[in-house]
Amino acid sequence: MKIKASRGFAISFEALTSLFAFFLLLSAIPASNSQAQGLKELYLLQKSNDLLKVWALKHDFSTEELLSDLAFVFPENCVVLKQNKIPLNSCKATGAFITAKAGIFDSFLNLQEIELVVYY
Amino acid sequence: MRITSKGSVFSIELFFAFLVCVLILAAALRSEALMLFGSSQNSKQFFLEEKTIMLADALVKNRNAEQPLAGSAFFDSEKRTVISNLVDSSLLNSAKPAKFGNVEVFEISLQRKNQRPEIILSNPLPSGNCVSVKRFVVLQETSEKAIVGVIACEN
Repeated sequence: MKIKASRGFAISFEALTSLFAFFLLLSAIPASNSQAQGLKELYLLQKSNDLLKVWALKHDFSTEELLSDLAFVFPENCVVLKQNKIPLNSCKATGAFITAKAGIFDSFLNLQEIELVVYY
Repeated sequence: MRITSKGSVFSIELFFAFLVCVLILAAALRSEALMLFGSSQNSKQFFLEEKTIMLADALVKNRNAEQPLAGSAFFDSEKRTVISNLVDSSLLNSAKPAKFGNVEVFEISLQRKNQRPEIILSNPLPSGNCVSVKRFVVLQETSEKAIVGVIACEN
């Protein structure tokens, strides 16, 4: 088919394909989830601080009690507990983590450095 | 086909090109609309989660005798201070249902260590979005460790 046209424009097939590919790329960009991630970290940090505060109130730093409290508060997370820099447990650590640390005096006024590393 | 002096002839190639352009534009707009809708849903969920986390935080850190859901921490009269994460369970047990803006608290539960959770406040959960938050506390009366659970939903 031959058309003589003095005015107007033509969009080439290559240009159309490029435009199509461009919009496909745009639609493949995932929605931003940074806000939700921030809330998750905040919640885990709050729970970690709850543990530290309760331990500061109770002054019971026996390994058994600390680990049972940990399992009670974080039943689904891998949490590594360190007492005076010595790890009391281990678990399969994957992905990102948050840490919470506190220095607490026990009943004998010995300083206990407690650190929690919560993986999520 | 030919172009006449009186008008233009819409050629088949131009027609197909126009059709493809319109389809691409429609797909782009739909993708954009879906992304914006997803963002607004994400925002709603975000604000609900944020408010529920704040409510639970206030419950374990503040004291509010008139509205226990806004604060049930123990007030030490000797030190004249509210002790965070030390919950006055008698105050918590007197909690009444409350709305905080567009978020309503539907359930408060208390789970003592090595025991089953007990429901303190309960309303039928609505069909909309709900968020559950749990905080670790000590009960002032019995010195037991416990988890306070808060479930809040959109109005």
